[in-house]
Amino acid sequence: MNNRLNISSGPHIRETWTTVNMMRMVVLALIPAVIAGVINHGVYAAVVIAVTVVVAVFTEMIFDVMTGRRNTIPDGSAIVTGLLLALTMPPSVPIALPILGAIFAILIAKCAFGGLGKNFVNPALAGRAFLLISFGKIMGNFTVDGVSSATPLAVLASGRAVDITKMFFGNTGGVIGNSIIAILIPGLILWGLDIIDGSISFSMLGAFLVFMALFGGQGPDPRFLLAHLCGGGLMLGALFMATDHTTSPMSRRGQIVYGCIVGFLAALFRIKASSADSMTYSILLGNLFTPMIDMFITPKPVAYTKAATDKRNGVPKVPFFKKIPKPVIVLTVIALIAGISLSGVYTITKDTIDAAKMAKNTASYKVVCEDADHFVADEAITKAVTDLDGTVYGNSYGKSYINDGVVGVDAAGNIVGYVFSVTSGDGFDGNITLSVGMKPDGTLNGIAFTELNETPGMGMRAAEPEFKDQFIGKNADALVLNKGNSPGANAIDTVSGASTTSGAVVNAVNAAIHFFSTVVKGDN
Amino acid sequence: MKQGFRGGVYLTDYSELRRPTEPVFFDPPDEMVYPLTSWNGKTSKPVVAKGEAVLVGQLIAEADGEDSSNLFCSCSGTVRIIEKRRTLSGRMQECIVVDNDGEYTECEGFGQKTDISELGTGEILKRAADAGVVTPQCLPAEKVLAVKDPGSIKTVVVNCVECDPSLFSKEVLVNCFTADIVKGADLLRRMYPDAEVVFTVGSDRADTVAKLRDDVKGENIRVEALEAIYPQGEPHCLIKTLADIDYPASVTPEELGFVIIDIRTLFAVKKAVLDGEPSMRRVITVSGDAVKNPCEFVVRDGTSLAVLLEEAGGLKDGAELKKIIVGDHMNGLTPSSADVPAEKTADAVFFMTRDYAAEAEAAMDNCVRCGRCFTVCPIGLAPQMLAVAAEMKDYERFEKKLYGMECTLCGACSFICTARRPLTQRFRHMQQEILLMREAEEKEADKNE
Repeated sequence: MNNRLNISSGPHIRETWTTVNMMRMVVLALIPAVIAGVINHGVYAAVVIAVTVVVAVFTEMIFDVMTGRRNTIPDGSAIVTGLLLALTMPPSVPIALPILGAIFAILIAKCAFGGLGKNFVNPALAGRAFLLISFGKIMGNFTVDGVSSATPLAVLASGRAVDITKMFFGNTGGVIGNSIIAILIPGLILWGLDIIDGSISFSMLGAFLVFMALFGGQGPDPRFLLAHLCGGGLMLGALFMATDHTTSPMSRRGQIVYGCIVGFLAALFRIKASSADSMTYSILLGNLFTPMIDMFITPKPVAYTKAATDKRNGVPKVPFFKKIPKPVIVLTVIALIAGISLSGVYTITKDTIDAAKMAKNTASYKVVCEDADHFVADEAITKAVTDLDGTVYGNSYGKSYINDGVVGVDAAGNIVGYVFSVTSGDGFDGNITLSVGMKPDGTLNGIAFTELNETPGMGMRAAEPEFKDQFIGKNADALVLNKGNSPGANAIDTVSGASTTSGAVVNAVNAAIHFFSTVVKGDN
Repeated sequence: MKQGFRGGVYLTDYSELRRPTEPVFFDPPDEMVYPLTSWNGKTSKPVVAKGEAVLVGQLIAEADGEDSSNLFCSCSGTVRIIEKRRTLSGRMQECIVVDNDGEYTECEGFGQKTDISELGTGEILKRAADAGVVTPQCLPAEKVLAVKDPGSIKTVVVNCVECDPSLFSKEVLVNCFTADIVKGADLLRRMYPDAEVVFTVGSDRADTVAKLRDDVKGENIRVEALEAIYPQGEPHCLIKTLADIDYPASVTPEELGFVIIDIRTLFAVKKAVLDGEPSMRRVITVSGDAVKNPCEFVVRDGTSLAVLLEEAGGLKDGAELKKIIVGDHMNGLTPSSADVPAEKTADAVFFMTRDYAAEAEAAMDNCVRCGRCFTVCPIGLAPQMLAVAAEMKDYERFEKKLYGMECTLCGACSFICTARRPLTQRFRHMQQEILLMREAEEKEADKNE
């Protein structure tokens, strides 16, 4: 009686494909991105990736041992999380950050909620969000070949063109996994193998593009849209992160809704948000919608759909165009007419709007060059700005960019000063953009901020006269920041408690001074 | 090559047989055991007593209540005892045990031929019912065949689609009992004069398709080769493939003008109605990786599976028997030992060295919500969501929001699940619970009236 065989409830056989196989496929699909990252960003990137993966795996292993769980390492999900997190790290990141991020991702976002399949947000992105919030400045410091440089999106945001071919191969400023081609092709293969849900990726990219085209400020310009499509973590997010099975809806319709939410948020964050990161937060927010979507959007058996019921009952098939209710047609026509007339109005008034914009710029320039009657472009300055092509100016001014430079002339046509628009990427909380006014001899005539998003009560106080007006009348090759230890004629006193902001501003002004002396005065 | 329905899975081939063999007529030597209770729980009433002599084809138990069927002796000898024995379902159940004298003396009237022209529809149904013919789902054959208005039936599907690549019993019927099948088709045309008879075969069985096309000819008869993707052989999948109609569980094939009959049932009906042979013999594939000589048998009901295994050469040298599956790999029964008798619904016995169900249970993991169960569900349900509702015993969501009672328990979702979760098993449990609750509610309502 002892050798009774097992009784089971059907089915008595299973397919051989398991979660482990699926994870292995995802790891394989990420290998090209890893290789491209190492090629583009150097050996240190390989170290970052290896350390992140190892820490992720170890964290899970230790958790399993300490909580007395079954060893969950072989399922490979910790490796996937580690890889994804590493691919979203800046190449020159201090090694402590990915270690912290990996521990947070695995321990807090995954294991604490019950491990594989139970996490409510994507662990890799949760880890990244943790790092972004805690170490925003370091996480936004991108280098190419060891030289600090702006990401293509930052360049794009400042209104300049980017090299899409470079973005395709990942040879630009950005995270380790920024090679589009190394993500796109394996991603599409995974889609073909039905491991990732195309409906999420495509609805997300679609919603992103539509929103970008409508509200991106440049209309449906293919170059602009393509640059946005290839920029940042959009591709990595759309193919590998938003499609994470555990944190995305199950039904086809739910997936489309989810994809649209994520795509819409990503575009919104890119256009409007002050943080440089759009994908992390849009996908995390999308993840939070998932349980609700799954609650309300459930698939209907085919037999209950209207088409099937009609067919069963012999109701004749109605042609598609007859199924559209009349109000929809009427509304579409009205919307079309409204759209066409609106765009007509836009075209007609475009010049007037541009003139108004120019006047507004002039107004901000006038603050720092009050003698000028109007401003004109200078060939040498314009050429020098174009030559910079959106890259960091010089080596000793941090991440400073020269955006523009104009010449102030009085009513008689005499040159009364110069104004330069400079952006510093070293702000405590995002970019600082300021106009620097100079007399023809190089004496500073004052500065004015056009973009300042620093901490209220601290960095924001840079805009107060007490700090700002120190620049007036200074004439030096380079100003120094006085933190209390280096007073002098060329010293600028720091805003107390905001040395990062103050330093960024001084660097930006120094960049303008250097630019002025090389381009306008012709010094070398 | 047709597949009309969505989803579906290609089953793994666990067979040692590559094509059907010539079936061996097998007369077992020893005692024969006839369980009174079939696996779907319907019990018949014995009409013989201990010590009574019985003959081949003699009625030994009669139908007792809805969905039960008559039981016939498949050997000659004496009734030894009526006692509890272990059966296919794994339970101990009342069985008639007959000492087989090995003579196989036939009872009076056994094998008496009837001409088809003498029979009306009512007579055909009555004969099938009296002969105890049941479908593979253990329902009396007349339940499938009897319709209110035979004129409304436009299509009669004779299903020989076998999605499990290791099963050949249907093909053996086509290849070796062709004349019986053709006669059976004539019976169907007699019963449903306006209907077209469609033989459906899996397109992976090219020989069978060709054989049927050669032999089954005539007006209003055709052979359709369908994609052998599981569960192509289920009624709703056949109707969807053939007529592109989806229907909910509340609608019967009959209302859509369809009668669907399994080729094994058709064969048994023909034998019972025209040849005077009650349901007591069937073709059984004996296969599996533990068997030395896998082959096909024509087996008498009541034969012990252990005897069949011996006849097939016994276990392979060194092979350890871990599992027996009677029926197909998806929905068969799994007796706890080989010492159980073959019943009316058995069409294959697999002796396996691996227990895939136990392995799956051991490897079960958290659901990663990969959504493959959504993809394979042939009727478009949400298996993962249903499983969550089942785990939480959320009857409301299971039944109303997610249409859980529509599930046909085909098992495709469990088969495909990457985390090895028991989806179908949970749904089966849940459906039974809901049916019990409904029954209790009805009783309550009756009481209040």
